[in-house]
Amino acid sequence: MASKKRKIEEVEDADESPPKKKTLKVDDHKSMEANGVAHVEIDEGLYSRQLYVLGHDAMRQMATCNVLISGVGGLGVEVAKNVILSGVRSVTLHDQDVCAYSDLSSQFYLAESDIGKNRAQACARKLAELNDYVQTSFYDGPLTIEYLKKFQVVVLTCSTQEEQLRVSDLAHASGIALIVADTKGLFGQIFCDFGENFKVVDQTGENPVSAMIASISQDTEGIVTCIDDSRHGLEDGDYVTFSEVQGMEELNGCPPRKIKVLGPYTLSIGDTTKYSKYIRGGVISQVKMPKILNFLPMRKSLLSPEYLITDFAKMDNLATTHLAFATLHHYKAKKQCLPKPWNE
Amino acid sequence: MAKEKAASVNIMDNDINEEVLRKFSYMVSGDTCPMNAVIGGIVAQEVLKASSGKFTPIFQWLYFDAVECLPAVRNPEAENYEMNESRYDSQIALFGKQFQEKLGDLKYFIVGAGAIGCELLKNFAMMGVGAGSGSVTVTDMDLIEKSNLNRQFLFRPWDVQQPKSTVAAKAVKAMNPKINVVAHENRVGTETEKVYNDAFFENLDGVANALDNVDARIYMDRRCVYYRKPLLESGTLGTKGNTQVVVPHITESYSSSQDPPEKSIPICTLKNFPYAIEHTLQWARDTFEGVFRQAASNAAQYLTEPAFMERILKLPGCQPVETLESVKRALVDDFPTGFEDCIKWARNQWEDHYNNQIRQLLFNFPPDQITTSGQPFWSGPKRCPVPLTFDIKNPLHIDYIVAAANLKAEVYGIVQNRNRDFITDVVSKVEVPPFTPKCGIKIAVTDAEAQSASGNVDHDRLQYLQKLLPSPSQLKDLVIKPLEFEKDDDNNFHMDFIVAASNLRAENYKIPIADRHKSKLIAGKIIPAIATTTSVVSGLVCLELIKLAQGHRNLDVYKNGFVNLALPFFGFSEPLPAPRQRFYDFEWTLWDRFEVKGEMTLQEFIDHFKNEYKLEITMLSQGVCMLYSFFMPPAKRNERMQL
Repeated sequence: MASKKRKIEEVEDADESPPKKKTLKVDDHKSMEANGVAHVEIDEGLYSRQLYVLGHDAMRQMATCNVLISGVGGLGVEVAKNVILSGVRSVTLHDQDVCAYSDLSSQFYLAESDIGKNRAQACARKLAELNDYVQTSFYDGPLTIEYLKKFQVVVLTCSTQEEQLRVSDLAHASGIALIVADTKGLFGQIFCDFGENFKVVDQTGENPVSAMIASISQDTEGIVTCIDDSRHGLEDGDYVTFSEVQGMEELNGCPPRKIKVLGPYTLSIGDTTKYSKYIRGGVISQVKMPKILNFLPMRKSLLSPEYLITDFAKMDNLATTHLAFATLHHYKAKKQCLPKPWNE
Repeated sequence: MAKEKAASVNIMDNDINEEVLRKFSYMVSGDTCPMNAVIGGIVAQEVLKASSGKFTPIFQWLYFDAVECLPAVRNPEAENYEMNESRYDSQIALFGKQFQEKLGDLKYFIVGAGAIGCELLKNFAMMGVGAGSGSVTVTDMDLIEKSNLNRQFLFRPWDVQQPKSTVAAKAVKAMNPKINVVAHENRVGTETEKVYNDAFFENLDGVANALDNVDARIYMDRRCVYYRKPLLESGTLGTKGNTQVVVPHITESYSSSQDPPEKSIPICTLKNFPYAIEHTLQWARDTFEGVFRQAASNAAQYLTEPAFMERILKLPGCQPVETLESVKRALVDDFPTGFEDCIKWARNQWEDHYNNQIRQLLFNFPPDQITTSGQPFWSGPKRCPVPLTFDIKNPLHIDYIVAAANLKAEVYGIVQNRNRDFITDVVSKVEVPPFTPKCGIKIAVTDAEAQSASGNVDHDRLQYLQKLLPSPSQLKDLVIKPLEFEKDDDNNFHMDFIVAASNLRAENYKIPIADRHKSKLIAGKIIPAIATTTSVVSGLVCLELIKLAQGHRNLDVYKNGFVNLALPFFGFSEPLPAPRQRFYDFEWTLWDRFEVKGEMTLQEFIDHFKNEYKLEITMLSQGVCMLYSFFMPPAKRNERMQL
């Protein structure tokens, strides 16, 4: 594909004059896999402040990513808004439900005039306007395996548990990342499954730390001491490399070494007995290492969930909340409707 | 039913909290925008993580709830929660019709219509805040820029250059036509206190900050404490965000705790001993200020302000001499008559900064210098520099000349020339005067040394300069334009200059150079920002608003939030209570004040406190005016007592 154009299926063009589009060169998804690198120009004028958060590499990856958001109620539209603003390749809005009054208290791109219309179709144009670089479209058919395979990331917000499990199994097997999310009143739930062998390239987004060296001992547990004003700021298990060291020059530009923190100014870097004696100078710098995660598919994870705690004061309620959401699916499946508000 | 399900998901009976389960079951058809904003923001960040591998994903379940938003005592009437074809149906199912009306009657002030402001306005419109007999006033003095569009989602490319507040107000009115929103373009501060006066504030139910700087936050906090209004405060920095709620009479205020001040770079590090790119960037920035703004400004004032000389001569210390030297350089020594002169000037600047001054430094402190304690002088944070030799084949050197020459030209109203080849040709022919390092030049090694070096005022020099300067009338056709640093305009040479100046100095000191993107971040003091974090904090803040509207007085109901979507990390804590102090039997906090009614003389005022509270006033002031103090001379005191 030589150029990216705004594609909105079956939606009238905006009445306002469309803004100037910048053409991007985007490699086809398949060839990107082959090359490993996407040749995308990131619009620095638009993305300036976000680039400083994510970096060029991450944004280039995002620009090749096709996202499916299923369920465009209040939660779905918030997700869609943020994802479209960020600059992925495409966002497809999926919904088989029509707009009702119950949507309007949080779906800000639906209005009374949209009641009865398919939710995804009714708000697609407004969402598309948020970012010319993203192809926004809608779809109201079933989520078959062939359809799902067009996407790298799938978000479900309004699906039954049965559907969640079905999609989860398919996604996990096909290397598609899945996020399931829901809000019920004042309770919110998020589940993530990015598959097996998911590589986290930058765990924290912090700048790698560095410090000036005062001395390095020759020892089986060689100790690096940093100069007075210069705490190393490293943590146990971090990886480091060196530069400008005089004497023990073997360390300069060495492959990343794992460290053990001994104090705020000292740390151990393993065996230095075979190196030349340290004379002076040098800088120790952190090397950020990738991390591999292996996610469980939903079916398994439901039974032995690993939680991220959001409020330590409510830690003990996690199991209950987990149960509550699960029970609700069960209730819906059995009774075909939701409990009435505040119904004992 | 939950118990049956429990077995199938491996949860033990005694792990179940029935209270929580019950609350959940009551609210399953409820839906409120701020919850979706919080969860939606987090989920979107997870989507970006999945697509890029940047940041650590949620592994694997996250639960969040805001049950504290429920009222302390629930209205049990079922019909209060019935849906009846209103846009607020789902929220009514959660909080009831009465509460929905309460939200509609609220009068709120949103300060700022940027990223957080847009999100707040959207949340308010969906929640129905100010959509009944209430109103929302939003103010922002800024115009929309392209880089805003990436997260200030109410704005579109065709809105660029329009005022933020009016466009935002219009956009949310389209979302909910019933919301009463008034848009202002005022900057909050002492100058706008006629607009945001007693009547305005007393009428409010609360204020939500959507600001991008601490000073404005402190100002709004002061106003809210004075008028005793709740304040919703939030901020973001990349993936990090925080929220704070200030409840009158109950919590501490925003200003009750302060972040430690940012460490500034020591002067000697900047001047002679940089060891990080941040130092060379600050140096470049300071050079820009000094040469293209300050010096130009002095010269411009000399030419246009009749009272300039008089004013300058009154300044303390060496300032008069320094200022006049700067004017002399601008109008005599370095005065360009055409663009070629600008190039020549740039070449000489280059030589001075990247060669001569370095050589002088090395003359004072040679590379093998040893300190009194026997250690090498150039070690640790003191990196030994090397002088650079100008080379027309070095693109970085030419970058500097192109930028500096064009900036100089702009200051003097000379037509600019962007032709690199032309500039390279001219600069190759410039001959710079030879330089030999001099003895007796004092270079301070530590900031303490620099402070103690006194400047003797040289009166002879002062008179000499005054005589030498051409009179303003002689230069009456000259217009000198000081330049204000603008980081986002890629065509103005500002960033070009900063990058070149900084990287050249980095080469002197063998510090790894920074590309334009990184240089702009540091020199431009840019705050990284992304829509996801903004969405989350704005949602959290609106949940606190709901608690305020419910009338909660218990500290433990409120939550100050801290998030970092990258790790990911979420933490909540109770706001700190307002510190209690006492005098005699009387307990008071920052929310209390003495109210004295009626007109009275100063003597009567002082007596009032002595009699009513057994307090002796030692000092009384209004604003910056001292009305009374116990150490006042008796004559003055007696005079004032009768007023």
